[in-house]
Amino acid sequence: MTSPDEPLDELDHMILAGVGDMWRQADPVPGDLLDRIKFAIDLENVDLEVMRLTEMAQPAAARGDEQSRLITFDSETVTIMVSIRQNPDGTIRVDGWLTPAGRHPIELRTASGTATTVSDEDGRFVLDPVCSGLVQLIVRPSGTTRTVTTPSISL
Amino acid sequence: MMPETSLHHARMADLLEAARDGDHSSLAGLVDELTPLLWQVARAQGLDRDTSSDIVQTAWLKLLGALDQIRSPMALTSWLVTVTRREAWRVRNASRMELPAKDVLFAELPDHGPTPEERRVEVERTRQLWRAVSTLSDRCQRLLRIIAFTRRPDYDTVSAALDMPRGSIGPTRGRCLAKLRDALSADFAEESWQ
Repeated sequence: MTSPDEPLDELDHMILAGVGDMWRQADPVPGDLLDRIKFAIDLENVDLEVMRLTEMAQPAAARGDEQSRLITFDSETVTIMVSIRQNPDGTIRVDGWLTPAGRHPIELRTASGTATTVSDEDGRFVLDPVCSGLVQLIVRPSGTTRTVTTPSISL
Repeated sequence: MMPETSLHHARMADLLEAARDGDHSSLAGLVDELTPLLWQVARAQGLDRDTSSDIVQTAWLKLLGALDQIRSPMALTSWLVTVTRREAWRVRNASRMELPAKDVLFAELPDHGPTPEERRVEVERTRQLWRAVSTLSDRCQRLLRIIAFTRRPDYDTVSAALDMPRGSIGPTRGRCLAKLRDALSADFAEESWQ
């Protein structure tokens, strides 16, 4: 393998090593990212469709409402909108709305186990209570072998 | 090629083979090994830290469906880097996100407060480097950033990360390094040899 460019000398190598160190200091990989990734990819089914987080709104809390987060996940075939709200006891309630509407098995993976439910004919589902921490939402659309998954997010 | 590089290659090949056979801890080993590079690829496209985290995670999730067809560590790295860059472009175009201006990107190195004497020289060197890198064009900054996180000579990965023709990487790298050397004060090299 030959390259058309000049080989790097020792000073070049040293400068590049310095550039690497500089970026590691100035812009390090977020502390929780490796754990989030490992949690998310610990799945058996590889017939996966990966959803993307497309929108995260944090509406202003009005009249003493508890804070809620609205998140939208999108993939080629499925869209899920979820609202995440804290219960008075500190647990979390997840209200979701899935399109295309229909009864689909839904799982919420957490560090301590998996909660399951089925969306109703309008595509609505509720998971309550959920513990805070890393979670991942998984849909297994009825009549397919596919698994549709969100990235892991921190609740 | 340095022996260290081929050892690394062999270890990666073992991890990849075990991960393909369904070994989760080997897959986790690959995550540890390659995520720092993918992080730089996403960040070099000018995305914020939260978005970059999501994109890197998406690349790994997508890999689960493609792992069967990936035979070598080099192919694995290129695959992940390509997906990360494409996702980054997709998000950037969707949100019409602007690349941060250079002066914002290079506003200030994080200041970790007073440092012991042995670290003082190191910190001063990093600051010199920071100032010098900030004088380079965006193209040079991105190229050197990715090259610094790539095992040489792996032009496929650099080409995939920046969507740059393979043949132009060597000459551009040479030019960018020459500019950086010019921008660095002469005592940078001298201090470094101490």
